[in-house]
Amino acid sequence: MHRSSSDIIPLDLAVDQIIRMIFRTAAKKESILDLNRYIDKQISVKFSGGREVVGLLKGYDTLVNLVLDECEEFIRDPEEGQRVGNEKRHLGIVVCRGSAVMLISPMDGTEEIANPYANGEAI
Amino acid sequence: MATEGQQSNTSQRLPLELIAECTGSKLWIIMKNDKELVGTLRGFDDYVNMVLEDVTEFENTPEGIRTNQLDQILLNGNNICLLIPGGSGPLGDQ
Amino acid sequence: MEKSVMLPLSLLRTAQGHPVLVELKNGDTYNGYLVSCDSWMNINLRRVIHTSKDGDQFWKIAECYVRGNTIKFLGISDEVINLVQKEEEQAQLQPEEEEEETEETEEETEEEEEAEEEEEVTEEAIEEEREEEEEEVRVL
Repeated sequence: MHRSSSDIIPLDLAVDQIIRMIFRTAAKKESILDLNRYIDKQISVKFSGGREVVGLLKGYDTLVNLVLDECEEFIRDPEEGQRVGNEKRHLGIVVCRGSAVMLISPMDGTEEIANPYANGEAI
Repeated sequence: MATEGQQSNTSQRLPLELIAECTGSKLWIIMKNDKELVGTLRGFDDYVNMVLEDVTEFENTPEGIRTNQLDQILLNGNNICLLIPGGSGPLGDQ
Repeated sequence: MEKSVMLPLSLLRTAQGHPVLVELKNGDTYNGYLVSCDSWMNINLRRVIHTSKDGDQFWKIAECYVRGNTIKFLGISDEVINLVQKEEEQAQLQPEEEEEETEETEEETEEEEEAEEEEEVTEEAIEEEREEEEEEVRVL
C-alpha cells in the first residue's frame, strides 16, 4: 500500500476512533465522571458565571443535572465576583442545571493551603 | 429525556423529576448572573425552558429591585443555574 | 520526510497519567494529574492544587471534574509530546496489523453494545459509517 502525507489525516482519525472505542475512555453513553461515588457526600460545584455551592449529592442524570440537599451558596463580592471568605446563604434542596456546571469536587479532601509554590521568594 | 447510563442507584432523585413534581407550585430560580425569579411553574421542556406564572423578578446587586410580571412568561433555560422547589425567594417568606 | 498532524485530543489522551496545568476561562488554574478525558475535553484530575485567578489563594483538592467548555488551555510537559510522537511513529510502522485486528474487534464490540442500547440510530447507518471508514483505510 502506498501512503502519502496528505492521506495520514483520515487514517489517523479512523485509528483514533477505533482505539478510543476499545479503551472506552470516550465510550458513547458513558461519562468519565461517576457521580454514584459522591451520592450522600458533600460536594462543591462551581458554575459558569461564578456561582459556587456546596451540598449533599442526592441525585444526578447523564447531563450532570444534580440534586443537592442542604445546599448553601457562597456569597460573592459584587465587584470582584469572587467569593467573600466563607459567607454562605442557605438554600435547602436544589436542582443544579448540568449545562451551567463547570467544576465538581468532593469536599472531603479539600483544604485551603498556603502558597505551595513559594521558594522563599516574595510575591 | 434519556436516562441511560444510570446504573444501580434507584433510591436517588432524578433532577428533572424533582422539577416535574414542582409543577403547579412556587419555584425559585437563580440565574447564572445576578438575577432571580420566583413564580408558579406551569411547565418546562427538555432544555429546561420554563413557563412561569405570577412571577417576581429580583436583581441581586442593588439588593431587591423587583419587577412584577403577571400572566405567563417563557423563561429561556440557557441562563438558569439553580432551581429551588417551593422556594420563598431571596427575601424569604412574603 | 512525512509531516504528521498531532490532534489536540490525542495529545490530551496521551497526557493521561501525567501532571497537567489547566487554566479555566475565569482565570483559575488547576494543577494535577490527568486521570481521564473525553471527546468534549471534559477531564478528571487528581491531587489537584487550585490557584485563584489573582494568585493569592490556594486549595488542595483530592480530585475534581472539569467541564471541557470551560477550559482555556492545558499545559502539558514536553515528555508527553515526545510520547505522542513515539506513538505516532509506531502507528506508522505497524499500521496494517493493528488496523485489521482492531477493526474486527471493533465491529464485534460495537455490534454487541448497539444491540443493547441503540434505539433511534439504525444499525444500517452505523455499518455504512464503518464501511466508509474501512474504505478510507483500505484505499490508503
